[in-house]
Amino acid sequence: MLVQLKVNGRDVAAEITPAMSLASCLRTELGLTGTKLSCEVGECGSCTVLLDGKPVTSCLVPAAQTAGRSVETVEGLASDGSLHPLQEAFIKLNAVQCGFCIPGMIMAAKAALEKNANPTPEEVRFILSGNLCRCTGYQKIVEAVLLAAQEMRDHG
Amino acid sequence: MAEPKTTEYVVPQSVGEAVEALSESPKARVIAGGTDLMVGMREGHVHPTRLVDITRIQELIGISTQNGSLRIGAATKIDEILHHPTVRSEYPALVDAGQLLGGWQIQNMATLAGNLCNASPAAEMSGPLLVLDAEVEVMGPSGERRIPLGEFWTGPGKTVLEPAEILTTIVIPGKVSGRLSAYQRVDIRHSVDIALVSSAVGVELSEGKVQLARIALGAVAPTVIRVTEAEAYLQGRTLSEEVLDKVEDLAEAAAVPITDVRASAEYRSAMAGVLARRVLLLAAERG
Repeated sequence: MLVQLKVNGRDVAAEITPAMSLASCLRTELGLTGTKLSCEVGECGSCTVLLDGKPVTSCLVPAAQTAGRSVETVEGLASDGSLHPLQEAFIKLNAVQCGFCIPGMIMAAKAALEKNANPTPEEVRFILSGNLCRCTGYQKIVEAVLLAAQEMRDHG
Repeated sequence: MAEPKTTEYVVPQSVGEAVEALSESPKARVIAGGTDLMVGMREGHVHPTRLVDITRIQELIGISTQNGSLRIGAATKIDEILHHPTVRSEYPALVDAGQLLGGWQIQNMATLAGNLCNASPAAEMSGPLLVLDAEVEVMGPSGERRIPLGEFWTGPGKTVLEPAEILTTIVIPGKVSGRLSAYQRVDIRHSVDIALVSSAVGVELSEGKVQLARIALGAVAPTVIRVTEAEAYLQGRTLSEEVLDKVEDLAEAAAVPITDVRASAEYRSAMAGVLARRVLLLAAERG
């Protein structure tokens, strides 16, 4: 079956099977491999994308359910050749070890900063609590989100 | 992993169409948030040939009040429930539980009806709704029926729903005030976790005396259960240490847990008592 949706602002169509997940559709049908698949049971958060602006674990979203809806992945963050402040902050603070969890972390953080531009460290931990980092590099990840939040407040 | 062999995905626009789509195909399943069903299909526990997506049926989405009762549509997301002003002011136990259901991502996907229909004895929303005397409205080929939530589950993963029936609305009748209600669980990592034991409590107090009490326990029996012995005992009593000790004993006695990878039966029984006492106090202190 064919599903038509918007991905990173562009209208796309993908040939899917009825039970295919959005994560599989993004990776195998649309070639967007920035979204990572790991646990495939909705526990690790590495496949987090924004569906109509809200973070979801795309391994559990039926791709068919996204018809006519808007999906944002890590590939959609940079614009006009410049990285998003979250990406800049993760690079600047070396908030990356193996890197596998980072796209999911960044997408959850992006949605969170749109709701609350000035979170406390405790609030950042809470909003990232659905994202696991098996390198356990949480401290720098939290610092990077806080730095990005500050950059985004200062430079709008 | 191989994709499950599901050959059809249908998107009805009304409850009637959904019931029809389920009636036509004996191996059809309702899908809403997908957070349990997608896992079940991938792990091979369920093999629906047709998925019936109810998330585009407008009458199943949203929260409304009617004659003092609160009606929550089956396809309403947990996140929407968490942010609803009436839920926040009147039913704090639902907020406690919704915040613990999965993580933020799951709350944006999962529905209240899905959490109930999955019928896990550890389901987050079941206890809070039980202590609020909630009922569910169900539509099927032979019409509509209303089922008290306490009669909805028959065992782990099992409900009284007939194959072509769908849960349409969760009704909180408002006969039990939810203002003094709370929910907590014993868990390991707090977020994206499954309860080792959970408890929900609703109380009504007058001058320090219990007028009405509802206590539920999760993950200690084949379904979420009420501790009616403790509820009856609390009637007319103040929450003294002696009374709380007795509630703890009665809750522990009501628990009939199993030992599994997450916890032993002995631990679960002990924690059932501790948690019922703790959540009772938490609920009472919200006054």
